[in-house]
Amino acid sequence: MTMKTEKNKETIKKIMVDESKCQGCYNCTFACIAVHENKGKNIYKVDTHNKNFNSRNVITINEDGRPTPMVCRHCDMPECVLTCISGAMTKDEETGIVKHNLKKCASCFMCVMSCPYGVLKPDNKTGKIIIKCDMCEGEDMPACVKSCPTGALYIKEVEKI
Amino acid sequence: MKYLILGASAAGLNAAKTLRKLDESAIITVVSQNTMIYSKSLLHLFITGERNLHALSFVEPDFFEQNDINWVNGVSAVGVNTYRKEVNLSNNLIETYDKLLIATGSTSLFPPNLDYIQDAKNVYSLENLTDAILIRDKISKSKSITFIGGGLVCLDIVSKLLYRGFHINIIEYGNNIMSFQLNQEAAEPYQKAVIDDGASLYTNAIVVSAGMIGDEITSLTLNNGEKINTDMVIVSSGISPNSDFLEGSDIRRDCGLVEIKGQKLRKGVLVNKKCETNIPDIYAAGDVCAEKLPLWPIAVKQGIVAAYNMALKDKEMRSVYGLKNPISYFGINTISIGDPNVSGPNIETIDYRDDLHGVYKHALVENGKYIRSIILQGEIQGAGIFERLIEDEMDISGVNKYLFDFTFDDFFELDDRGQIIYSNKNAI
Repeated sequence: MTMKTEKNKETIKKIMVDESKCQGCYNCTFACIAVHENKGKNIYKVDTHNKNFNSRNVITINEDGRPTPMVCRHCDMPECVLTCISGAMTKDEETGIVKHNLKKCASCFMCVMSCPYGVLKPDNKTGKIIIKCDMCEGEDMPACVKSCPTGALYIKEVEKI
Repeated sequence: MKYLILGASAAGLNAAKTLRKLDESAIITVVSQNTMIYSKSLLHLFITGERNLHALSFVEPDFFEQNDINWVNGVSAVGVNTYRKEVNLSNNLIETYDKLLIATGSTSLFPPNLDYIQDAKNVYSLENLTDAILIRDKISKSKSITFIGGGLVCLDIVSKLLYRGFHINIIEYGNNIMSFQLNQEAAEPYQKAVIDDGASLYTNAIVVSAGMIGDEITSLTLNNGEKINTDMVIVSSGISPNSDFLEGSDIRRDCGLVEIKGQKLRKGVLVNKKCETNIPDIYAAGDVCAEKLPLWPIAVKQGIVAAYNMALKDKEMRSVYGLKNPISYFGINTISIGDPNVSGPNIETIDYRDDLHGVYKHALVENGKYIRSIILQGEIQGAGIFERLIEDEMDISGVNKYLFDFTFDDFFELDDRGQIIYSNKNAI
């Protein structure tokens, strides 16, 4: 996802959040499940009763009862990478994406303990697999952003560091 | 610039990688006693046969080539001449440096009250790969295994050895297993699993004497008079920083014993928030440092912080708070942050239980303002915000919300890159 802007500075894409626009419709949640758990099927075909399905994003409710959607920040200095004991969680400096390597993962959940945004979790089915946003690798745009009808989730190009 | 790093684990290798990122033309040398790169936190998986040696590494196999780092292995430092900026090595060679990082880690420190069994041939503690290899080998020849200390090291191994025909004894000094991390209620499901699977658990128990045949222990007698027969003993130990080679140098150390949460720790090299020692151009990071618990993430961060400062860039440790552990055995996931046994007149307990789904949450809050301890069991997502609140002692009284529903945006704003704005931007 590295690209050059007009000023010729290298940038990366980030999913940004404007919580004032969120209506709590859960489109982002279902779109995420549809892409990752339901092999890209339409969100209306997601089995809402299947507890084994996991969304990589969350919607939290603030003090005033307002919803805030939250997606992995793919941090510049990611806590999940710094705390990983096995080298499974890595930061791709080129794309800015924080990747999780399931084969290397020891399911110790240091990353869950350390993510201040609370977006990492063990999967619902086995309780052993880390559920982690991959920015919908290979797609032109992450499903959560594409499906957000209000613009609460949007893509911003930021300078690569 | 010539950087010399002593030690090739969490702190040393993260420092080396960071230095390469910050200084393309630097000459970077890593000296380590280890001839293999491995994560100390994965050793139990080697003992129980779930991972082979190569799967214990936490970096890519071509790490040193990729980052253009010179690795001198199988060699340890035996002395530092801070005036001439030289390190004497065990192979009688000398390495010079412009900037030096001490990241030599720690070895196990046997609990003083068990001194009398320390020299028995079938008594082990787990601190490095050599220990792991010895333990794995001995387990393969044993029928009964006894753990002194029912902490995380014990459970890491026991949770995988049950069902395999061993008789396992756990001797725990506290009221419950993992007593540094869990209260009785949170420990209960784990204890049940251990006992249901055939292990013998002795709580509030102390070993008072040992029976020996030759140089091997054959039985242990407890304070209640009970005698336990065993083929081998694994002791949860404290740690001792590997800083003896600094003896005689002017690098400040604290060599006394400190007790943190019942664990005896020998203090190590004294550093500030930037991982600087008292001597210019010398830094220290990881388990070799004094005044902290040995925890992988702290070592990683200290390695990175040291590297930034070695390369003359600002970076500091936000905290070296080490009372935090994720726990995952028998399909039960728990995260514990803070001291679950903290007590006092102004401590309020907040509990949440959903027995149907195996969810138990427990918080201890002081004066309605500061969370001192939290246990999240069965539902661990969102624990990270509590790590921040506890570590940074943030006042929660201004947020009018159920504590277990706290999220980061109740306390933090996001910047233009969509990340939390911390008061100290240079801290990690």
